[in-house]
Amino acid sequence: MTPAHDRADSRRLSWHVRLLLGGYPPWWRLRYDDEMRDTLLALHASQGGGSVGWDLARGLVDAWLHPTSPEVNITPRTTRLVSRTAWGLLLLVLSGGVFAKVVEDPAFSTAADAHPALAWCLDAVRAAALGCSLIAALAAVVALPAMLRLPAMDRRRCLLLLAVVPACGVGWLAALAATRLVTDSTAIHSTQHIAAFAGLAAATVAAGACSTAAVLQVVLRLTQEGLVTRLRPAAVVTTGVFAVVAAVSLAAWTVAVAAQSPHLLSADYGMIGTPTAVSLAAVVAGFAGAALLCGQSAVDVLSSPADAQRSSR
Amino acid sequence: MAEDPLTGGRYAEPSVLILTSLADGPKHGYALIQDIETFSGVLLGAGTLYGALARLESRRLIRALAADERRRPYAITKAGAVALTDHLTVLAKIARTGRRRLATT
Repeated sequence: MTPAHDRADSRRLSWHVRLLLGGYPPWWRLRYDDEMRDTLLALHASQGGGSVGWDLARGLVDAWLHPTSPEVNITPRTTRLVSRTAWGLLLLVLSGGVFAKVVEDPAFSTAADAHPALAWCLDAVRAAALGCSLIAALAAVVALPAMLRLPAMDRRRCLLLLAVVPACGVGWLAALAATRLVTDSTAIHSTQHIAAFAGLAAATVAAGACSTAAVLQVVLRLTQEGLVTRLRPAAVVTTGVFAVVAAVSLAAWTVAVAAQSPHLLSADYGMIGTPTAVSLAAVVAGFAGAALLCGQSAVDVLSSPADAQRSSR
Repeated sequence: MAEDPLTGGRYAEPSVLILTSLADGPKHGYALIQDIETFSGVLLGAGTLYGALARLESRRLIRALAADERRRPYAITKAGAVALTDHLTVLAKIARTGRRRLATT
């Protein structure tokens, strides 16, 4: 930053210009403050200041909304790959949660005992979900040292973003506690019961989306070098394969249930006692969406693997 | 998500002007503003200039050279030269088509 004797020079700038310059993000000021002040002083000397306030204000807002750091860079193609995979995983997690809740009803385990195909499909879905979880855990392990190598400004921003995840978890637990409180003495299918669970569903989607968005912002700031770059294509492809396996297994399970135990589909084993078919339709749509997103990323990587690893240099 | 600095957003035109100015040699911020005003008539503000410089630098289309006191010159990179060439080729085609069509109306 500017030494004390240079700051005297900056006082030739008007107070509102100095105020606006101070409002830029810390990482921006560390990188560009001296240059901007020098340029503004030269502009002031040659053109008498003029209406720089509006231009600086727009630049300030843009710097906060669209942070750029020359030390951290990622290509648009990699951004698309990682974003699609992350949102696909979120869809898989949310849909998988609903599916797990639906099949925990004893009627489904009884049907699985009677028809092995149902059990195999369920095992395949579980195996794919476990695979995706292991990939996500490995990604976190690999990303941590990369995050620690970031410049201090970016590292602080990443830690703030990651704090969103436990905050969303706490918020969701609070929503769950409120739901239990409201539904404690209410009859199933009553207005309060349905409203409480609708609120819990909304809180689940919101918590999931906020967490995914925050984690995505961190991942997209990681450097292009190192293990993150080398492992990213394999992680994207593997996640895509697992998502497709899960979706196909779920579809096969649904077909098997329809063929061998149709009474389950027409019964009310869905979420909060709703028809099974309705909940399963939502689950199938979610899994299909996840397979589409993650699968598209995998195909993208496989079709041009060199691009998936190359930086924009 | 990172957008192409030459075609997307409010820094698209300033980015092209900056790359064009740097095409004939490195310049620092004020020199860029003066040169751009000379060849295009556009006066860039410091906020707009450094917003565009940050985007171009993050996309490795320009690089910062060693600072001389508070003045840091920028130079166009090979990738920047290629991007500028491609963009100007498209603009030239549009200009030719526009002129031809206007001539026939």
